[in-house]
Amino acid sequence: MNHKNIQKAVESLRKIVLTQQEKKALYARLEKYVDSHREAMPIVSPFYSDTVTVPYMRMYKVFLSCAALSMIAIIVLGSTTVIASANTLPGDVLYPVKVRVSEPLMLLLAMTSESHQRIQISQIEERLREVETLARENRLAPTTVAMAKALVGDEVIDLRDKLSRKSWEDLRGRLSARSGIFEYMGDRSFE
Amino acid sequence: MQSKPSTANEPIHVKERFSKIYSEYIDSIFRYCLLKVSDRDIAIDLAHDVFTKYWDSLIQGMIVSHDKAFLFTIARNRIIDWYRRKKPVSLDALQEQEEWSEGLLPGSDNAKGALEMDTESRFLISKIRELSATAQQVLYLRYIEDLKPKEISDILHIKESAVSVRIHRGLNELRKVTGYEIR
Repeated sequence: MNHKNIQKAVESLRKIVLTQQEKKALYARLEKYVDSHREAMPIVSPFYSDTVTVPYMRMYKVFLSCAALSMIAIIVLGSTTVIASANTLPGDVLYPVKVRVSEPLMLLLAMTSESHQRIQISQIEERLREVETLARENRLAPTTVAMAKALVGDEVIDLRDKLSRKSWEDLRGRLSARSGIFEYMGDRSFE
Repeated sequence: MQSKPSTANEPIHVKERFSKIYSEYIDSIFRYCLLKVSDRDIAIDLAHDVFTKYWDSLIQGMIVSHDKAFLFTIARNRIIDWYRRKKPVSLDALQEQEEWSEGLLPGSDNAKGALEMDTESRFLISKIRELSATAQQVLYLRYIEDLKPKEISDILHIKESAVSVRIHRGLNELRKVTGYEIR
């Protein structure tokens, strides 16, 4: 507002002030209030509203947020990796996740000995399926065969001691269907 | 204005700050109250209330980033309370009608200690009083009290852009009623 009359009016309005005496009197009143209220400094609750947050509460909130985000990231990345590893074959990047993380985890989560044995059998069949697939694709390396033999052999021996005669015969019948690959692997542990 | 808690508020430092802020802004706060209530004694009492509330905020551990805007916010609320006590009508109705802004500028007969002004200033003040209460409010805070649009937006609880629009419209209104060329 640059008009000279307006400037004049603004200056006039700005002249509305307290006299020095009034200022002193008012400050004396305020000083009384200040002196009677300075001791009663309240302790700010850490649960004070969002607009008035104590610094350490803010740090705590940041820490909690980071922890929550990390947990979410771990869960999402972990579960994605486990799911992605389900159809991998020996030699694939995620194959170790399948045989060292997700399959042992499934065994751990088995509630009964029967379900534990069922999972063991399905894992043996999975190893054989992998070897068959690799053999079909001409990707079967001697190291893969050795690893599959070790895994299958251990599982079969473990199961032979645990299964009832009927279940063992049933398993043998299912494994016989894949005798070709067993012969290829030179494994007789199921017999 | 952003109010945050301080980590450590030594009472002695708080009092020094309070004293400094008092010396700096007491005239502005008193003037604002006087122009709103048109009574010098009441304006002094309101200014007292404003500074006691400000002290309470300081000892509660708040850090006030814009002291002037914070003081004006308290003053505005105190004046609304004063009008609420004075008139048996609802606060909402008051805010809607903006009746509480009566006596915004001096010239009313009940204003004790009215200013001595020249004829031109008195004419201009009378013209400003013809403006809408909204325009008077923002023009007063912007040009008399030198507050920035951001600070005004904090006081009036509106967006900064809305403040700029109100200032622009207020100046247009003032141009019309006075016939002055205002840039």
